[in-house]
Amino acid sequence: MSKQIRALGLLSGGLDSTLAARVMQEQGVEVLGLHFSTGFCLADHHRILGNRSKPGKPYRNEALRAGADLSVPIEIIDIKDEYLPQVVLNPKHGYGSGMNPCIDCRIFMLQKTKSILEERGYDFVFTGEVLGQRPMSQRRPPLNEVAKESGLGRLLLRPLSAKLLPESIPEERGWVKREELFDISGRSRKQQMELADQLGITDYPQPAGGCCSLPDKNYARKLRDFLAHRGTDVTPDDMMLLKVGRHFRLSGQVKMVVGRDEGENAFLQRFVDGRAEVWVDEFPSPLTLLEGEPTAIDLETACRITARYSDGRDESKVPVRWRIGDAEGQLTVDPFRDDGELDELRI
Amino acid sequence: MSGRLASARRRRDDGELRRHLRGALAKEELERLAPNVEVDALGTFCPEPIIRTQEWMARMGAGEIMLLLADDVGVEIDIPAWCLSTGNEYLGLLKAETVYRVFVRRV
Repeated sequence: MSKQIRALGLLSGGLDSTLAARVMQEQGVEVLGLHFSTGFCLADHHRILGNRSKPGKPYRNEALRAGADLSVPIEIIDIKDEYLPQVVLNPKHGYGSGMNPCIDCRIFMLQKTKSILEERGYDFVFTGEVLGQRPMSQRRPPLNEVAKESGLGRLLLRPLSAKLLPESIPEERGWVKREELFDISGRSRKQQMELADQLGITDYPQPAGGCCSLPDKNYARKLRDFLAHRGTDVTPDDMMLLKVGRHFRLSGQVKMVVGRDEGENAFLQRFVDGRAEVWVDEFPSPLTLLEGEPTAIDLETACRITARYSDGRDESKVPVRWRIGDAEGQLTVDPFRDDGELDELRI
Repeated sequence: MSGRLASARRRRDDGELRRHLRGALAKEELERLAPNVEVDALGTFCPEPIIRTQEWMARMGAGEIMLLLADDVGVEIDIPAWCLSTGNEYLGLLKAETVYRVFVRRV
């Protein structure tokens, strides 16, 4: 009896990784899907804020959904504590259009995968990468670099583009049939969607683009500002706060975060320890948090901006409450009205 | 695109997934269950409830029942999906205000 071939697949739950897993199943390979949790997943963040993808429907974990569809067991691996210092803050291969260290990210995840492969005796690793699909990480040189630096080398198979790439060990040894793999390349998803149709896969995230905050230009701008003023003394909580609210820099040491809705206010409430709070009692208002040690001028500006985003924005004077540690007070201010000046403070 | 598909492998349809979300047991049966393990994931969000579920389930014996306490609304869909993917049995959930009590049987 021939040995059952077992493979580990990186499964985000996007169309490409779902197809890759399914193609492996078609070839009789037993698949375990690995899903790495980096702390930068947008869907996770929506859930924390209590947002729904559709009325009554919570954001789902796409990897688990894909695993359920395909009957592929999914193992979620929490890497966020290592990921931040080792990958996000210090990427050897640099960032993409935002603060996305895509090449280092792939290498890091595949190094972890290689350890699991060795510990548990799996035969090879596959991913849903498509040659030429992403400008930073899926060109030919980075695909080679990722295979090499992860230590997987030719044990790494990309089933969707395999025919355009050098033969891997799983193909060479006949664990999978190269002629039944694919030659998909480029940024269009047309070929993948045709393949999904053939395989009866109808439920996958639309549009494509991934679930990571780091390529987002707004998030990247806030992260760059944070690193410029705080250095690399960063915690996962700091990273979470960057995803929420309107951000304004009042000075080199002081910035403010203004909640945009009830969900964000509730979220910010979890981060009040060690930060100043500003809010309006008389009108529905955002919760504002201040980081750093605000001067009297900073505090007044924060109160004026908070008043602007409260329902008292059209009043001539608004009483605004503040709390810094054990000290509490109130300032009556005119809401901030100068859009140009506000934009200069906006991060 | 070249490449060949060996078979029309059976795939779960959406209806099957939707039915699975209801769980294997009725509410009254869930209320009478005596779980072997209670796992507290209150105050945590995706993927933490799933990570705790997979860690505990790996230590449990076949047939044993885990009760997961959680307040992340996503457990309504993530735990059934995790059970379908891993082959464990999703028994159902009870919700009281914002707290979910989710029951899973190790297969």
